[in-house]
Amino acid sequence: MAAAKTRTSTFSRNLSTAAPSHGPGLKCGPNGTVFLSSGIPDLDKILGGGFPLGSLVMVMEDAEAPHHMLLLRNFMAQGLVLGQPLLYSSPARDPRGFLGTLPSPAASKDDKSRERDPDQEKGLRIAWQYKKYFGENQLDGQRGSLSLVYSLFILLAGLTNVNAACFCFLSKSEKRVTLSTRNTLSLFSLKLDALSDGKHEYSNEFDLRKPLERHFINGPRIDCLSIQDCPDLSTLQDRCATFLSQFPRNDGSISCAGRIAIQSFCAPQCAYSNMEWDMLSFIRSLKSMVRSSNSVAILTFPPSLLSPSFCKRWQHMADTLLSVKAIRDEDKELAQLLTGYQDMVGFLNVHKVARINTQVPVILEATTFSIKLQKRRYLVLECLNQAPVDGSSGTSYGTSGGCSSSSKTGNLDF
Amino acid sequence: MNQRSSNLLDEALGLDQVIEPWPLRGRVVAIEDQVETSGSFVLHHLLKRSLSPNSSNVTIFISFSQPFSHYDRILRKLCPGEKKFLVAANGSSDYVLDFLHYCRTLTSEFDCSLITLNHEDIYSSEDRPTFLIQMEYLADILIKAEPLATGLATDVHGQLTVLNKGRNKVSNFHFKVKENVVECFYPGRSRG
Repeated sequence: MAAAKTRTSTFSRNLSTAAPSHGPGLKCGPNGTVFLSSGIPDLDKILGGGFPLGSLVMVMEDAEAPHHMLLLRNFMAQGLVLGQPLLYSSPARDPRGFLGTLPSPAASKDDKSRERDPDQEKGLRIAWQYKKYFGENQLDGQRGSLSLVYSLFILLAGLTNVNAACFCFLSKSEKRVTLSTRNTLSLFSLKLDALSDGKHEYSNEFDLRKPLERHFINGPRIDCLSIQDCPDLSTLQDRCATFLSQFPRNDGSISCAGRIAIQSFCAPQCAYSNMEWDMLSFIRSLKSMVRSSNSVAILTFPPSLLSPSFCKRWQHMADTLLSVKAIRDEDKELAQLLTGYQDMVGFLNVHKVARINTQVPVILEATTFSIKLQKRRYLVLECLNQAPVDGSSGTSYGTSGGCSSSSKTGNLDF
Repeated sequence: MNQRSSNLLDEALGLDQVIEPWPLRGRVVAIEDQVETSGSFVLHHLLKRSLSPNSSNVTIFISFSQPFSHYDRILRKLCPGEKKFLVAANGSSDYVLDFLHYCRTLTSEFDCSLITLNHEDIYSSEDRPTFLIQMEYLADILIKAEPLATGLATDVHGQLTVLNKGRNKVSNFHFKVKENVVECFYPGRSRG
């Protein structure tokens, strides 16, 4: 295990693996990990990039609402859009039917942009005039890169005070973009390879009201399984093992990553739902299989159906642990306490963030987020903003440690 | 980085002085943690101490939770020296207590130390958590990692309680886990 290499300092960057090439939908994370997207850009951001390959994500369901399905849908849809193989198991009779409810990526960039300042809008118009000079196929393929070119246009227009005197050359053979103005030749020259790591290839924003196109759903690398039919867990375990054998982990480049989605694992419809030890050992073996492959497994379960001891055991097994909570209609107290309450459909709690190859825990600034459906189409996660309350606030701070609080107040200037 | 820079944790365990034989020899150390606060860093810390360049210790490492590459990568950050450790993998939890009893007899027979990491909160709902009580009884040193009562913070990751039965001493302090070291300090003394 220990390499024969001599190391002079504690922190030595491993240069040989500094720039591995990864397939679409993957990006490098810290400590030699590689992320794939959760399908929810906000959740990726919260988790520091996404779900690391080899990790087990567990979601504690709210027994009263299907909010965990929101997470599952986006996770699955993101994988299918990127052409990543999927194994989906559910207690429903016809799990494949569920694929018909998956959301489709938002139609165009303009649709999904939430806030855009007017200056930027103007810049983009200038840029779009040059759209016709690009081949249509290039435009599709390099959309991520193009958006960068446009932003450079805006930058140029700002720098040179010239409105439309920018030219852009896109050389297909060289995979190079050159930007120039009338006076200076070739202000910017960018190699597209460097740009191809665009955001579009990693994650999408999904329109929950638009079903995913059929050709994504009918792909050959999608396996569905109803756990209602399984008398014990061996069938599911075998299917997981077969599926994961497609993505063995060797330290080279990763061409493809797999996704496993297991919905309502301990649902009472399943024959094994009272075999707590068996379920625990399945989770353990799933975790170890996933850890040694280039894949991510997400498993949702209703904690209320488990005994408290097993519920804790399961939580310990998770690399990333989330929970969802519904908001009851007309909770007037909460409505007063939180701003933007009327748009919220529920809460997402982040209990644990995967830490692979490191001992340092990830401490988030906030662990509770509101789940909102923006324009009833897009899933957004936001930090909770407490509405200002009269009188004393933050009593928990005041009571602990008098000496530190006094120095704190001195630092705050209003 | 100073290999021998000791901290409150070392002090509580009696590892702050360079003495032979290793102070934990023949001892059983039980670490307990919770979902909110992982105690695995104590394991890393003890591995680092046991494998430090000027010791001749051999470690048998049995992991039920993480692959060995994980521990290997962390240890590389903790200490520049490369040591090989013997490995054995994945077991079944039903026979753990039997197995631990067996390991404990080894500690007295071969004068080695036994270090375990267990999750305390698993047993919190039980009236009489036999396994946990037995482990705590068998341990010479009990280390508990707990979250702060006030919630998560970036500068304090949690608190450690070390009960050293041999010295009849209880120490309590806060900790912050970094990539290459664990910082321990008394409450309110965080360097932020």
